Amino acid sequence: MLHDLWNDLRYRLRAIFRRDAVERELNDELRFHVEREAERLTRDGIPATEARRQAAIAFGGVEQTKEATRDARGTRFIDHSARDLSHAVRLAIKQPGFAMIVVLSLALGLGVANAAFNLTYNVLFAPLALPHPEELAVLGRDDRGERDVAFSWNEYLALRATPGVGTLVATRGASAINVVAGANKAHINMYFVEGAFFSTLGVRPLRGRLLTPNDDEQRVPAAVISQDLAEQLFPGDTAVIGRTMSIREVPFTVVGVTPKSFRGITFPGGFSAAIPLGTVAMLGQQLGAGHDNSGMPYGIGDDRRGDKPLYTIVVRLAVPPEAARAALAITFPRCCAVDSAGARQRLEVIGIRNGLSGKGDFRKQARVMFAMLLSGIALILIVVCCNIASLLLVRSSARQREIAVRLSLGASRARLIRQLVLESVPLALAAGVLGLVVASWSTAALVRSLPSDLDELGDFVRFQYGAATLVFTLVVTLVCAIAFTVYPAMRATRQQLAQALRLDARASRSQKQGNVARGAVVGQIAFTLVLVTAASLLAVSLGNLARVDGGFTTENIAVAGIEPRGTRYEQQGIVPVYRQILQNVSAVPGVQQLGIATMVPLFGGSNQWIEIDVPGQPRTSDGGPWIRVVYMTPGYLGATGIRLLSGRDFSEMDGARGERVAIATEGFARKFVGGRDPGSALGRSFALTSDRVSTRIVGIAADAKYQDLKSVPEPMLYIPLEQAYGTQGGQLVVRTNAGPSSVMRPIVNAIDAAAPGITVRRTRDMRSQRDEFMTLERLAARLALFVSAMALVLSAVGLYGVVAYSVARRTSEIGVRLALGARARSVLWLVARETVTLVAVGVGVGLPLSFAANGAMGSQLVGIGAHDPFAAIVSIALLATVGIVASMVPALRAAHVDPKIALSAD
Amino acid sequence: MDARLDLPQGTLDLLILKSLSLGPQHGWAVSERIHQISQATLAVPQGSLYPALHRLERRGWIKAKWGASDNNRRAKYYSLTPRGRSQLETEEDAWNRLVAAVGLVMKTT
Repeated sequence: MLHDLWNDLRYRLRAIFRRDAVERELNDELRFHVEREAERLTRDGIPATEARRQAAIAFGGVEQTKEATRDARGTRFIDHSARDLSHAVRLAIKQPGFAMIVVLSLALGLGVANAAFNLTYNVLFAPLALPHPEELAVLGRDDRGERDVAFSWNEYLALRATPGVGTLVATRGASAINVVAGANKAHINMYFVEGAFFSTLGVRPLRGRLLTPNDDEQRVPAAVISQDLAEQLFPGDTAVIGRTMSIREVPFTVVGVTPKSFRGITFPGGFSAAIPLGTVAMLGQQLGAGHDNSGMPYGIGDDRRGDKPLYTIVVRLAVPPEAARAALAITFPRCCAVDSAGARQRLEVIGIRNGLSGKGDFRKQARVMFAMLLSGIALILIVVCCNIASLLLVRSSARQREIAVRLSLGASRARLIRQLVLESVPLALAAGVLGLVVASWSTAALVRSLPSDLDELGDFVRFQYGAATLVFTLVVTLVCAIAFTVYPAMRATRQQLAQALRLDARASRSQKQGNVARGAVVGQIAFTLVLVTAASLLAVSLGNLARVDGGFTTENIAVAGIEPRGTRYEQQGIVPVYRQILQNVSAVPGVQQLGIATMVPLFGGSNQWIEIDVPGQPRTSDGGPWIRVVYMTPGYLGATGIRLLSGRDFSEMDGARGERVAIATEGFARKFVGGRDPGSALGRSFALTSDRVSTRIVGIAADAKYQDLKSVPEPMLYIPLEQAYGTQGGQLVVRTNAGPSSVMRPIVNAIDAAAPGITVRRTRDMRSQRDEFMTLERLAARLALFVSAMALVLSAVGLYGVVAYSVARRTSEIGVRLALGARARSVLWLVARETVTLVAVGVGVGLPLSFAANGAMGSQLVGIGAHDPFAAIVSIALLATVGIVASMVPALRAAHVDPKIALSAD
Repeated sequence: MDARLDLPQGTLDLLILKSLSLGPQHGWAVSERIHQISQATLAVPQGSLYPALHRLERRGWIKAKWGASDNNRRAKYYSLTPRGRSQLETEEDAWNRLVAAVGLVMKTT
């Protein structure tokens, strides 16, 4: 059997690749036959020439025999395809304009689709770069819909003892840790891991080794660091293994380096360094626990015997997740579940195939945007295909006579369809190659426009010419090529031969074909309208967003984050140092107003809430109402530009031992006094639930949007920083008259002089911070504008093609009209009428579509409704203008037809 | 002319294999041999002879080799492969049974 196949293959391969030799042999073989026959006849006594003639007659048609023999070789399909392809290439070179339009529009469509696919896949679906990521999970507890992934050590031990689950390991994270190696410093998030952490995940070291259970048990001060951190700490040094880096002045030996592909277990994640859990005690005492942005618990200090929920439990499942959950659900109520407010916590097994998503789940936010992006891309691909199909229809009608001639000469219909479809393949492949280039550009552009707090995403959204991309492109390319050619090819070959061959039969024969091309153009216009209205809505919304009053100033304001965690101020206390910092910074030339607060609008900081009694407001089950609180120094409101509506700002007098005071936002004041005039809240007092000390409201400030620009500001309280508990990281706000970027350096120096060794985490100017907050919106608007501009151009090309075709078809008719005295204007109208009809029908179809599509976008829009009539009217006007301009060229050509030439044209 | 019969469908392959079983032959000789042995009853149309030869070659039942003909000219000689020989046996057997069966039916009715 195998032998058969091999024989067959060898035969066919020879027939393809040694085609000339095989043909020559066939020729020789047949000639030999005829000559041998002639020889026999000569021997029978027939004269040589006559014998040769008779032999040739007896043999019959040599060419037919050859054809039949070639058929028997079984290589005809490939053979013809090769010839069709080279024919197609020649044809494309002969009609460069057509080829270019097809290739460019398809390349744009494919490129953008590819980039969108790449980005979407990487952000939403890319699995962790670990072996069998589907087996990885993190344990969590569900508390009335709130998910928590933090467990205490005792809980972990109890859960780990459950049989039939898999391998459980505990890990902890700590954010904002300073590591030092000589003169190089880095400020990183760190993993504290149990010994089996890396082996459970299946990480392979790039260099050196990973941590082991021995490191953990023996408390070996060993660290595994990422390639990036290695470059940061030991720049230009390849031999980092064995080098020392210190964490809180404790030396750790670098034993291994992880590859860039390892990004920890969170998403978007990032991995910098890991040390054994056993060594944590060496770093000092427990200093507070909480959650960092990725949702992992953090905190320094050994709590191995404690009950503090500090650990994330990672599981390599040996059984399906449901089975693991069922097994753990038996242990969970006994060890870990807490009844709170009558509801029982439940255990969750959270699959982390794509990484553990944190509280600010970027994927959730991005999903809407990606859905919009992908539907836009799908529309553009439809428009591209409509465009190319209509162009092909137009062109194939120009080739109708050629096709008719070939059909009447006996070419089979299947053979012609195959040829016509194959003709588009070189174009599609060229477009595919070009599309990859476009894709890499547009991916880079997309990554560049990602919000900078997500710039780590850029690391793995880099465009790669991987096998998946190539296959994706090839498949989409070929599917597009076949999709847009099969129908035109089938139409082109289904024709009345006699009619097509008649020289002047243009008008009647291609009416129907024209209709299909027109249908394609109408579809194109309809989908373009959808895109254009969406783009105009997003653009208007972006403009509105840029003008939204956040309740604070953005111009000439510099912000710097001061981070005590990981420095000596963590234990010593930073708040008393703030006075010195403010004093030093106010001496910097150009500084006008300044203040420090725990949180700054849009810049962020630490989220803090206090629990107070608000008259008339029932207690919530979790002990609320919880009010968001910002601790601040005097001057902060003025520097930030948050207006004080009544009362006074804090002063130096509102210190730790002074009367407890607060400034309420307008929203809080209104809520506090039960909806009456917020001014009446001034002078009233409330008590913190925790210590019942009375706090007096001494001022009312205007509401400010702290979280984002879209949402309604929430009721908040400002409290003097010196009256806050514990260590408070602060954000320094400086209003300058010298330009924020020029004062940044002196400000940082001034902070450092006031508090040596402090970490200045981030420095920003408020303008760029605010701009950054609109990145997603700007990205969406930019993409929509780009995509709809593309759709407009394509529609213009499509309209031009169809109108030019119909003008060409009616040249003789127009000639007759002109000869009979029709005016140029009426001819112009004759053509323009077609355009107007096409655009009108397209708009009629597209408008309801766009209403439906934009409805889905409603929640993303600021200050404009999804069905805004003005946006629709502008879009329609734009589309109509483009359509009329596109059809003007052929229309003018028609109006200036010379009747003499037109009538003799065909 | 009237004495000639068209070949029944599918028998050309069998005849080619059979005539090659006597030894390597070139195309002309194959058709000539069939013509002679059938006492001029069977005419092999040249239009089907060569496609059939090439098809059999592709299937690996016969193989081709260029050699010198009886009058010292270059000719393409076909010969049976071992697999061609077993194929011939199978087909010959099937043919004989078919002929016998058809003959039986023709006699009795």
